Amino acid sequence: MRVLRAITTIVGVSLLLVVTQGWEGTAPAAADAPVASTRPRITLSPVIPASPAFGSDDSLAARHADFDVFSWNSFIALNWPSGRDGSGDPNRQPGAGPTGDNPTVWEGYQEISGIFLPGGQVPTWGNHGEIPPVCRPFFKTGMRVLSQIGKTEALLSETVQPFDTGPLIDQRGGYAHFEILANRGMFEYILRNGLYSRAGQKSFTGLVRFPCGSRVQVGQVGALMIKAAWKLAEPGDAPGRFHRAEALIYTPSMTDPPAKESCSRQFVELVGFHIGHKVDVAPQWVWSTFEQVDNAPTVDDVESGKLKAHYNFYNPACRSCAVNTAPTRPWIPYQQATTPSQAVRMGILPKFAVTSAQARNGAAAALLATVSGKSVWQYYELISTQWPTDPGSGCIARSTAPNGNPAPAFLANTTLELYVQGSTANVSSSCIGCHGNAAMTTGAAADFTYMLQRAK
Amino acid sequence: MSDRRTPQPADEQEPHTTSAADDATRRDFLKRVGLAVGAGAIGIPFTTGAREAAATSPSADEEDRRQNFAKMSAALTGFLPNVISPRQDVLSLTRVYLAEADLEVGKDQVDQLIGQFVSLQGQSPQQIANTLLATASTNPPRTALLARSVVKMWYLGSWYSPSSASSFADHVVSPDAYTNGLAWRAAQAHAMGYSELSFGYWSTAPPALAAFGIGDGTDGGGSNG
Repeated sequence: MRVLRAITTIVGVSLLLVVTQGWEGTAPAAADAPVASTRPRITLSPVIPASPAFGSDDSLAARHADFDVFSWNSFIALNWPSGRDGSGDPNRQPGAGPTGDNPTVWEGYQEISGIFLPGGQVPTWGNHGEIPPVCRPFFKTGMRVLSQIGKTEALLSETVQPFDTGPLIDQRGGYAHFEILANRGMFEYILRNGLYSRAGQKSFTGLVRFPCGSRVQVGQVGALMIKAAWKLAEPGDAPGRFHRAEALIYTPSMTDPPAKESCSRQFVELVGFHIGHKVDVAPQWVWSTFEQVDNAPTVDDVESGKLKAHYNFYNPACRSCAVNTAPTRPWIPYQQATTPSQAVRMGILPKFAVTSAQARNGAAAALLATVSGKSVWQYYELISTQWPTDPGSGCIARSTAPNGNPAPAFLANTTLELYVQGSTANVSSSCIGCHGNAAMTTGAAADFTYMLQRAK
Repeated sequence: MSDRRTPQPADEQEPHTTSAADDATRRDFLKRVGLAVGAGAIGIPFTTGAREAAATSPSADEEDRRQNFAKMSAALTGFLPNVISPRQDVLSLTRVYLAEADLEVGKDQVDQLIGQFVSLQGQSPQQIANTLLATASTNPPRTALLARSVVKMWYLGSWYSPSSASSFADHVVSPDAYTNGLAWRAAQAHAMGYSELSFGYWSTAPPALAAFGIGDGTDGGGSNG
C-alpha cells in the first residue's frame, strides 16, 4: 500500500512538472545541468508554461533559479513560430528557417491601441487600432504600427520610457519604439468586464482580477502582457543577431516641439522584451525581462575596460558621453537625433540573481543553437525575473503585503527603464513595486497593469 | 474595527509595571516611533558596515548563530518567526541586524546574549522576553540593555546604544530597516514616504493586527512554493 502511494506520488509530481513546464506533446531537449531529479529545465517547447515548476529546494536562490527557468521557457514558447490558430506550431522550431528568424506567437497578440478605441468602442480580437490616414497608403494587414502618443498620455507611451524620463537613442541616432500587447485571456477579461472604455470602468463595481495561470488545470495560461522595445534597422547592424519585423513608424503632429505628422515604413529590430504573466503562485505577476546581447555594457565591464567593439546603445570610444542621461530636447522621433544614448547596466541585482541569469542564459543559448547555428534567438539574454516571495494564497495577495516582497527587490531593462536603475524604494525600477500602484481611470486598483488607464 | 493593541510576545499579555525597566518594553518603543521617524527624516546617517558584513556567505556555525538570533528576535519582539526571518528572505534583516550588533558592541557580548537565549529554550516567548530584557530589574545587566537595543532596532530600524540613556538613536541602520521597522506593522500603518499598499488603501480600514504577523496572529508572511 505504501509502495503504491509512493508510486502515485512520484507519478503525480512528474505529471505536474510536465503540465507546468509544457513538455506535453514535445520531446524536451534539456540543456540545464540537472542537480536534482525534480529541478525544472529549459526546454524547446511551443507550450507557454502556465505556472512555474519548482525543485525540491525552496531557498531564495534555488527558487529564483526556478523562476528564471520559467522565464526562459516562456520566452521560447512566445517566440515560437506561430501556427494558423496563433499558437506555437509544434511542427516547427524557433530560428530553424534560412534566416534564423521567424514571426512569433506574441506578435499575434492584441496591441493595446486596438483594445482602447476612440469613443470607447467595443474591440475585437486581432483588430488594429485606428490606422492614421498618413499611414494608410503603406499599411498591410498584420503590419505593426509603432506610434508615439500625445504628450498628455506620456506615461508608458511608446517612444518615451516609463516615467517620462526620456527616449532611448541608438548609436546612429534612431529613436527606439515601444509597444504593449495582451494575450487572449487578458483581452477577453477586459472585454467581458467592459474595462475597454471609461464608461465601462465606471460601472464596474468589483475588484479587477485578471485570470491566473494554473498548474492544476492543464494549459490554463493566465493574463499575459508583452512590452517590446524595437530599434530601427540600420546599415551596419550585425546581420542575424536580431529578430526583425516590418513596421510603420508613426509620429503624430506636435506643438512642443513643433513637428509635422509623419509615417514611414521601416524594418525594426527587437532589443528589449518584457513578459508579465499572472500565475497561481504570483498574483503580483511574474516579470521576466530580456534584452538583445549587444545593447549595453554592465558597469563592471566599463570599469574593467572589458568592452565589445560595438553596442546598440553605448559608444565604447566616447569617454565624455554622459551615462544614462536622457538626450537633450527637442525629441522628434522621425528625425535623426544628435545625442545617442550612452546606456550602462548598473549593478542593482543581488549576486544570486546575476549568477542564476548567467547560468540559465548559457544553457538557453546553447539549446537554441542546437536548432540552428543561425538562430537569432541565441542572441537574447535574460536580465532577471522578479517574483513575489510572499505571494499570498489562491492567487490573491495578502492584504498587508500586496506586492508580496519581490525578489529581486529592483529590476531594470536598459531599453525600458534605463534612467531609473537604482535601489531606492518608490523611485528606482521595480516591476512589481511600480505596477502595484496601477489604477483604472476611476482610481480603483487595476491589478498590476497601467493599460486600463488608456480607456477612452 | 481593527485591533490596535500593542504587540505582545506570543501567548500572554505583558503585565504593566512602573519599574525603571519598564521603559524598555515594546509599548514604550511604540511611543518612540515618532522620534525615530523624525530622526530618519532629519538625516541621522545610515550605516553600511553591517550591510556589507551581512552580505558575505556564512559558515555553518554562523548560520546556527544567525538562526538563534532570529528566534531570539521573534521572542523579544512578539512577531512571528516567519516575519523576522522569512524562508525566502530578500532583505536579510536578521543578518543585517546581527552584523550591526556585532559591529557596535562586539561579537562576545552578542554571543553572551544569544547563549542566554539558548539556555531558556522550552520557556514561553513571554518568559524568554521578560528574562532577556530583565523587565523586573531596576538595575538591568549589560545583556539586558543589549536585548533592549535589539528590540529597538527591529521596531524602529535604528541603533540605540545600550550604554546610552539618550532617547535618540545613534543612526538608522539602513533604508530597508527604516521602511521595514516593526513599529509600522504594530501600528497597522506604513513608513512615511513608503507604502506598498494598493492605490486607494487610505479610504478603507487597515487589515486586522493579526494579519501583520504579531505573535498570536495567524498570518504575517509566507514563502513561494
